[in-house]
Amino acid sequence: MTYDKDIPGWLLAERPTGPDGCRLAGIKKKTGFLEKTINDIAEVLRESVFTEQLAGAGGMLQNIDPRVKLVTAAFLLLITAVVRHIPTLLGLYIFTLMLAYFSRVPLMFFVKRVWFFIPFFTGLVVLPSIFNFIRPGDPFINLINFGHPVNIGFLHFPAVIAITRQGLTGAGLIILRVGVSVSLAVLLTITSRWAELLKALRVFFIPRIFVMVLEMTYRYIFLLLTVITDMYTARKSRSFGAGTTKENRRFISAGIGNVFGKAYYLSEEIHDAMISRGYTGEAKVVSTFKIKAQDIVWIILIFVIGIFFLGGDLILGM
Amino acid sequence: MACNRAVSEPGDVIFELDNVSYNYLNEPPVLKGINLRICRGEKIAVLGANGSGKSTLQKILDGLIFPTGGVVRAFGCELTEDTLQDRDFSRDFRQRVGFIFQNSEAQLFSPSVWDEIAFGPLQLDLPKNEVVERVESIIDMLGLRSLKNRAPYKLSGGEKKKVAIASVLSINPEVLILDEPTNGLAPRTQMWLVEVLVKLHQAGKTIVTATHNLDIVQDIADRVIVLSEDHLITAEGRPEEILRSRELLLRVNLIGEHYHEHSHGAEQGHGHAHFHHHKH
Repeated sequence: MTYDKDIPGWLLAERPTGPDGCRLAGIKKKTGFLEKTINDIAEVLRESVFTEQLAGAGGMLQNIDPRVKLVTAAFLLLITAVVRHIPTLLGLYIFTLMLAYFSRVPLMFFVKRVWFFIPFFTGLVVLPSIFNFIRPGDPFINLINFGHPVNIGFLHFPAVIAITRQGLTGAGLIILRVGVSVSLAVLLTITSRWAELLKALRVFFIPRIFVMVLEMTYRYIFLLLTVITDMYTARKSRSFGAGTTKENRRFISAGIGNVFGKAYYLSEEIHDAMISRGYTGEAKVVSTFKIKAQDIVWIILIFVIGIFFLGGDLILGM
Repeated sequence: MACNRAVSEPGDVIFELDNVSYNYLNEPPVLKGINLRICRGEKIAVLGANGSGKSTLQKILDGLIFPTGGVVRAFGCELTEDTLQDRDFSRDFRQRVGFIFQNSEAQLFSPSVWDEIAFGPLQLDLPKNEVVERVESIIDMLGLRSLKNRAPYKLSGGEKKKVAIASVLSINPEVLILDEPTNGLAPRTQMWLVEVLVKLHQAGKTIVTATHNLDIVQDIADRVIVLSEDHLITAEGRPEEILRSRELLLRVNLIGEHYHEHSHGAEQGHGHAHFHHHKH
């Protein structure tokens, strides 16, 4: 096999055509939607690596057995769901902030992660209920005074449109309840390794095979994300300019097909690898979790705190 | 032939392939008329260019796919979909034969290195303390202590290969089948791998390695099987004979015209052939 004869002349030419040296065109390429999306995916990837770092940070919650953590989190979620007063929920929220602090979770990161989406979703859902034309109540802030009731078709508005005290309390209660619940869930997930948390699900009698499927999903999502970012980087390194939206769309659809094919082939290989090591369709696991003294103390502590908040809430209601 | 599951003695035939062929659905055959015997304690290299059918042959040996023609026997028992459905035979066979895949991503499916190594022993229903002991001792043997709790996707290529080997060794198989084990590994890890294989062979394991890395053949094999690009066994012999046969290696497309064999035996004292690419 000889190489020199096979190389076409243009490939041997001194220098490919293009601008000389560092000549700038002064025209910037635009960042397309594709690049933004792919970058966001990469960001998610990095963030999950970051959270694994927090899981190994050695704070208070990180030292609790994941099973105990899961059960106590469920208990606190139950308390959050049944209490009915804003001060109690505020107290619970301050408690989650303290937990975050003692678990070496950066507070700004924690607060941002919880409160970034709640105003959009929960806030939007409860917004109408604060107005007196949706839910009558004692006016708190008067917005518009028509002087007389207004009827537009089937809509009936009172003479004064106001935000009600009951509406505000109800909305606050729901938003806070969601906030505390999400905080607890976020704390649980960022202070635990995913693998351990999934294993801990077994305490709720979730079938082993289901846990195993979840574990493998988690493990291979990372691999497929890497495949996707690699595919995009490879394309970017060979493309000049951002490409038209149409080209990008075509790249995405081809990419989806490509990744699907790869995932399918990989799944067959994984199955072979499992069979080869004696897998017969029944998931067998060994648990290396051990309940320590600090876990017992933690259970008692959370139980006492839960009863404290519940009792306080009952007293507020009297 | 009756199934004989007695412990095999050195020199016993453990794999027997009679006129084996294989083709994927509606595609031309990837293996044709393969006749092969593998004895206990042998170390065999399967050489062949990309696409010559090395991986398919190894998958047949591991009972992952079944020949579309011919017969495969392992440990005196015919390997078919049916015999591998048998609970006792399949457990016995899976324990005796370990397969290290070329793609470590497929081999490492567990959430952590520890779980990965424990997977095989757990499937064999070993008692918990024995599983833990095996995992811990393999971790020490291969120097994986610092990776113990890591997720497989966070490992480097070399680390992945080490964990893949650990995950199969924890089953303590008699036969180790390795598909292109040195692919993508740095020279140092390649050397490490060869040393591990030599040690395992000395411990009595049968080793079947598919490779196109000619540099390691003399270390990892005392018999070489060469698959041609038309999917037949075209040659079989001792590594020195096969490696010296330039015409053969050219014909099966393993080397190009500019490849040269150098024997550094005199200067380095290990008497190995090395292959280099030279331009004249």
